[in-house]
Amino acid sequence: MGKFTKVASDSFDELQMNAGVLLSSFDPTNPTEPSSDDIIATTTGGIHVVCEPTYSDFGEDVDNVPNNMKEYKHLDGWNCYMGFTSIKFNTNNVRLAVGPADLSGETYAASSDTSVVSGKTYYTRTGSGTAQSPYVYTPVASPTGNPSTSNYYEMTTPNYKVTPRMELSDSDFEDALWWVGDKADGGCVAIKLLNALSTGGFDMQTTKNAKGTMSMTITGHVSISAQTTVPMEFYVLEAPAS
Amino acid sequence: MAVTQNRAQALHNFWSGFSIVEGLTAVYVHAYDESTVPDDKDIPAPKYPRITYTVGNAEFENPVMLSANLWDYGTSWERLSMLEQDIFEAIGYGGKLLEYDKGKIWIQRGSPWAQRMSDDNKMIRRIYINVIAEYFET
Repeated sequence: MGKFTKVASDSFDELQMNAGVLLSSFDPTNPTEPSSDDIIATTTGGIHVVCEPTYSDFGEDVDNVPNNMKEYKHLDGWNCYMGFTSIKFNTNNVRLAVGPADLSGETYAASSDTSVVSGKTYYTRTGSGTAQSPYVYTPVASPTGNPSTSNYYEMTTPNYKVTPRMELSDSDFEDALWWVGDKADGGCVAIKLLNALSTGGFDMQTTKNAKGTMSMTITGHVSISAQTTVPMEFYVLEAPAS
Repeated sequence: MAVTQNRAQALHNFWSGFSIVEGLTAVYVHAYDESTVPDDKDIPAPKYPRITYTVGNAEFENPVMLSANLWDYGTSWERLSMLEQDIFEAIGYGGKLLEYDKGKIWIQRGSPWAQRMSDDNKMIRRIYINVIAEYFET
C-alpha cells in the first residue's frame, strides 16, 4: 500500500470517546470519577465546545497589501462557549439556562441534630424575618459541634421557583463550568469555561411520547480583574498510574 | 509494557474473565469460541455455566456485531442472570476497550442486549447476548 496511507502509532490511544460530562468542579491535578452532585446536566446529543477567535485584517484597505498578510493580522478577541441539550429539569438547570434569575421557595427549620451529620448542609440565619430585614440563610462551610444548640438550620423544602431578573448580577456568572470526557488510553480531556453565563436563554422543546429538552448555550467571559485571560482552558490528562 | 496478545486472544481473555459466586465460592466460567467448543466430556469442571462466543473482524470505523451464548444446566435461571448482569456491568455504558498487540477492540453493549432462549432439553438454559465490536487498527 502507499507509504502515506498510515496513521501514527499512538492514534488510537488519543481518541476521545463518549459524550463526557458537564461538571461544576473538577481538579485537573487529581482527576477522579465525579460525584452525582458535581454533574450539572443530563445531556443528549453530546456537548459542542467552541473557542473561536475573531481577527481583523488591518491590511484589508491598504493599497498593494494582499489579504491575510500575517503581519497585519490582529486578534480582536475570543468567543468561547459550550452548547448542549439538557434533559434534566430541576431549579438549578432552569436557572442556569435562564441566566440572570433568582431561586426561591425554599423553607428552613432549626436543626434538631445533636451532632453534625456528614454530608448534610447546615445554614446560619441572619435578619429579623420582616420585609425590611428578611431572613438570609448562609451555608456553613465546616459545621462543628451540636447543630441544635449552635443555631444551625436545615433546608426542609428545596427551592421550587426560578424568577428571571431584569438586571444582571455578578453572582449569575458561574466561576467555572467543566466538560470532561474519556480518552481511549484511560486518560481524559477536560475543558474549563470561565465566568460562565447562559447567553442563549431558556429554550425548551417538548414532544409527544418523548422527553422534553432544554437547549443551552453557555458563554465564557473575560473579567475586568483579569483582562488578558481568555475564558477557556484545555487539559489533556494521562491515565492515573495503576 | 507491550501488549503481546492478538485480537483473538484479547476476545478470549475478555470472555474468560467471568466467574459467578455460589455461597462463598467463586465458580469460574469457561469460555469457548463458538466454532471450536470441545465435547462435553473434554470440558473441565465446572462444565456449567459456560460461555460460547463468536469471533469476527472488521476494518476500523466498521463496527461488527458479535454475540455470545451463556449456557447453564439446571432448573434455575439464577446463575445465568448473575452472569449476564456481570457481563453487562463489565462492558459498562460507554463500552470497554480491550488491548491487543496491534490496536484495541471497543466492545459495547448491543441491542437487544440479552434474550433467554428455549431448548428442546428443558434442563438446558441459554441467554443470547449481542455485543458490538469496533477494531481500532489500521
